[in-house]
Amino acid sequence: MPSLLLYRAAALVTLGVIAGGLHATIHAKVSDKPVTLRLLQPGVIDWDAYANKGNPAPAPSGIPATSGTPAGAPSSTPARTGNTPASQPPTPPPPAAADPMDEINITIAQAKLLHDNRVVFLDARHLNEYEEGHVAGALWLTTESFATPGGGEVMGVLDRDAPVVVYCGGGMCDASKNLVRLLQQAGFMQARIMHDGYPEWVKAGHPTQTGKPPIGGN
Amino acid sequence: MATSTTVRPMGWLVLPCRVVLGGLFIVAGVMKLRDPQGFAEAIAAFKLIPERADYLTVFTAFAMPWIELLAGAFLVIGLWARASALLIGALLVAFIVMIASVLIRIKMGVQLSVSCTCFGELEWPCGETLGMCQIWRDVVLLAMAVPVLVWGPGPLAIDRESTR
Repeated sequence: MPSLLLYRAAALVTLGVIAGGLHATIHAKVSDKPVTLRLLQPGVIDWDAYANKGNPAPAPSGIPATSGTPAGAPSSTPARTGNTPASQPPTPPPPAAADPMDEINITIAQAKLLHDNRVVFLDARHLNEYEEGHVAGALWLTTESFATPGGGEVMGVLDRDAPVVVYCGGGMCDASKNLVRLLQQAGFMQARIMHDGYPEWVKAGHPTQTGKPPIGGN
Repeated sequence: MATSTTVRPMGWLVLPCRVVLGGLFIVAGVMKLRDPQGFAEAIAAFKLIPERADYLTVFTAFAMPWIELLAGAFLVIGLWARASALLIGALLVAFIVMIASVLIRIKMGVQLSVSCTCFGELEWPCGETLGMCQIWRDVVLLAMAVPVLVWGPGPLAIDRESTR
């Protein structure tokens, strides 16, 4: 009797759905870490301040933010004679973001601006991709390495109140989003995503580097 | 004790299928329920549920492992064994289709970064990235569901009707 089989299978599904629904409801109410797929909206970065050369570097001292690169430092100096980066690509901040994600996603130009100001970059791609080439001075941190001692080492040098820029392969890669979610849970509310990712950074001719991560490699 | 229904020879083939397959589904369900956030993100990464329906993704992240857990447990103890095998088979077919959809979309140039999380952190023998390996693994599991469906629960089951 095939119909009995189907009824029983359907009953099992129903049971599972009820249990899952109950579990989801209880979890959402009780757990201190409710499941969330949306990134929280961080505070707004003061882009004008970052456009000014005299801006205090938010990166904590002693970490290889952009220091490890010979290309990083010189590239930031020539264009900034005054406070008017007129010919510079850095676009003005997006006007009153309607979509919360606009607060989190930043353009390559904005990322470069932060890079010039020694904001820490986090590469969320696989280790081999990082070693083949990454944003100059970027550290390596992924959702997988996040909870490892190596991840802890990286987190240890970060400043919770300072911006960090996270990137992955660009396009629809979720690695940045997932990492930012973890960072937010850990209190890093200023995390940003360089939405177009590493390929566009390279295309724009911005400084890159190859080699193993300075800390948190394994 | 069963009256005259002696265990058919096939029964001893069915029993290991039941226990192993059911056991794996219990493990899979428990592993997922231990990390609902991770599983919800994994479901979202398949991009089969629109982002606007996040609540559906979160709900699935809880309901799916519970269904796996229940079906697995029923299969192991041999209660509604054939129905459980049918359900598990249907789930496996659905998984195969979803994994294939991801692989096809990647072939078509869509950038998708999906980790299976089929078994939480235990992905043996496959790596974490989704590939043909996961499809073959599901096919093997599917092959284990068939004997139960065809020959009934076999020995050491709660189900009385040992055949049909």
